Amino acid sequence: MRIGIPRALFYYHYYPLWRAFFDALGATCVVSPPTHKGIVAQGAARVTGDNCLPLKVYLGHVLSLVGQVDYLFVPLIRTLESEAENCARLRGLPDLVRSLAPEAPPLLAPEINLQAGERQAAAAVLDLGRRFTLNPLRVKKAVDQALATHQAYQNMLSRGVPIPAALAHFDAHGSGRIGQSVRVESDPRPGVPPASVGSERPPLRVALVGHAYNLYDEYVNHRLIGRLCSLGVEVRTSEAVPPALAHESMAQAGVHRYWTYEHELVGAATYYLSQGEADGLISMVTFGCGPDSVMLESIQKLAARYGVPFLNLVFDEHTGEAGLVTRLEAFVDMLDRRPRRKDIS
Amino acid sequence: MKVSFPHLGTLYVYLPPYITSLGLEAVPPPLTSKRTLDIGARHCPEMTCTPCKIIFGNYVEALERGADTLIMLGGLGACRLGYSIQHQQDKLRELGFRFRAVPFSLMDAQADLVRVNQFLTGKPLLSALGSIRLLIAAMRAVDGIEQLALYTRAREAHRGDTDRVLNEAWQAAARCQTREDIRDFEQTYRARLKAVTLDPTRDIVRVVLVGDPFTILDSFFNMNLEKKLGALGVEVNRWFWLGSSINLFPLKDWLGLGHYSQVRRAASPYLRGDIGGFAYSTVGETILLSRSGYDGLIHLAPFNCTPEVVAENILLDYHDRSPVPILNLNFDEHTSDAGLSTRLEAFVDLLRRRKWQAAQAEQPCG
Repeated sequence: MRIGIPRALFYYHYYPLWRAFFDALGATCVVSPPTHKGIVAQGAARVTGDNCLPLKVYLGHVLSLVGQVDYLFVPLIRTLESEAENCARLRGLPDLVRSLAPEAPPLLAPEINLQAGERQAAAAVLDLGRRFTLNPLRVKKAVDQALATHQAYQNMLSRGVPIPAALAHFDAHGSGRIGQSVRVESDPRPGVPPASVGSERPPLRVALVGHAYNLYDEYVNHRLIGRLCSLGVEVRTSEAVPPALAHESMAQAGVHRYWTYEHELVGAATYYLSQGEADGLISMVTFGCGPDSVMLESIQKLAARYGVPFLNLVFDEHTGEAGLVTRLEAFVDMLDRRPRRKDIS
Repeated sequence: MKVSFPHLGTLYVYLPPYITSLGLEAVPPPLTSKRTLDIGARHCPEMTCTPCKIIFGNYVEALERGADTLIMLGGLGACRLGYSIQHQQDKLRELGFRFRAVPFSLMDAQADLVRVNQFLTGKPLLSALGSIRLLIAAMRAVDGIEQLALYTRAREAHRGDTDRVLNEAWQAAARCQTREDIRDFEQTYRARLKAVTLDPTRDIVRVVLVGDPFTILDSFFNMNLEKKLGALGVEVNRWFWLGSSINLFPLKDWLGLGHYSQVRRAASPYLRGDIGGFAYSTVGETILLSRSGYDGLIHLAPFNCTPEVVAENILLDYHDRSPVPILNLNFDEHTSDAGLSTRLEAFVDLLRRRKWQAAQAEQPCG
């Protein structure tokens, strides 16, 4: 049985977990190709114009899987913690797909609502597993394997392995090598620029906060991270902060919880700024994102409080590359003229 | 304590009697104007929705008038207004205002009413029962008069008669102090509205507004949509009335017999449960109301309102199956008056023509 997984939104957070789960149940995962112009255009053609870019991208990926898979996996992740919720688009994701892409294969859409208790989530997962096997113990085993894989993935990210390399690792090896030490073949830290010869100053460090599905979709963000690296900047991304540390920083910053992922982004920014690990702060949002539109306010305040220069980049499907390059260069030039944070202290 | 609140339709009409009866002073903000929006646009995040900006402007203008306590619209519900409350408070303090604030959410109006009442009086609800009953009586009376006005405005022989009566009514309502006053007020102005000369020859079409309550209720934001429609001979109704949003005895809903249960049944094939904001109600109500004998539906939403955009997109598919036409209107701070009028006129023409065609089909030999 082939399960289609759109390479968008939650994919960047949970693909290893899903893959391990479906592998253990004997299903094959088919991931849609990396985002390209056709995917965005197809997705955007289905919705009204004021939708956010990530949703258009998601729909495009859904459409690119039509005819190639038996089922489409579109989980409904309502809440993941007691005090914060997910955005309305994420909470309506399967319904949006069903209504906007009626030709899509049947959906597998377990509802995860941790505010309703873990039992509800367990029931949803069992229900999902029933499509593959009648043996609940086999589902239980698959869940255990999936959770172990997810933990391994999280550990990799906390060690500084960038998301694309980590995802590629799990894609290549599946979940078969859990427990063994995980080695990543590619350069583990592409966020680090080549050592600048002859310069005495340490490289500039920039904290880049944004949703993983924006930061690592190179079509959407025009290779933002690569561009920063080639400008000689060391990039620290938001998901490299372990969630526990980010939450701790959040509690210190005193910002109230409302949306899960926004909470994590503000937490990551707080972490980098309070640890003095960033000479500059860049946020990357997409036009029309409701939660981010208000979150920016928190990030802006943080940057002002710590006296760190702040650049906000808003992306939509029309973003011109030249404009982005100019802004990045200007920002990095400006950072370069300022004294380094380490120099001050 | 000088209590203020943002504008939301006729909130400014019936909240002051309630606040006064608690022994506090009510300081409503001046009616929303261009200045209000400019203040909001200057201080709120650029990409936030226009209602957030308007409401922030209301707070500033209320505090300028000397208010020291704010009932803030928002609260939980996965809508950015709830997320904004903290920022709005911080910003207002940054601007140098000193005040106390209590959030009020329309999502859970009765529970929040209890909380707001507790905050204002420091006593449990029962001790302020008289004030609450006054508030509910005022809401019902004001809503009833507005509903009647929507009927007469579409039919009035002399343009503006209805609105003249309404203006007087809202001023009179603010002077009400007891439930007897409210009863007198209601009787007087119902009679006044019924006395408006109607033109029996007008070809009336009936339209119901669905979508975001703020956009439906705020006549500054929706550019006097109801008046514009009334002038075109459209009798307007709304899915959302402030008076019925407060249901102190939701027994029927618990038993699954209330209106909300119907909405849930209608929405469930399209949406698996509440997703935040009023999206769930929008989907359910759109489906219910499209089958309730209206000639057309208008879905109102602020530009970029996440829950309403989801509802709108989920309903795109339903538009083809709906028995009556549905018009989507998204408002932002730049919406142009002429553009809105053109779209409304075109929509009303379409509805009239459909109605005429249906009538022709019934009498083929006429």
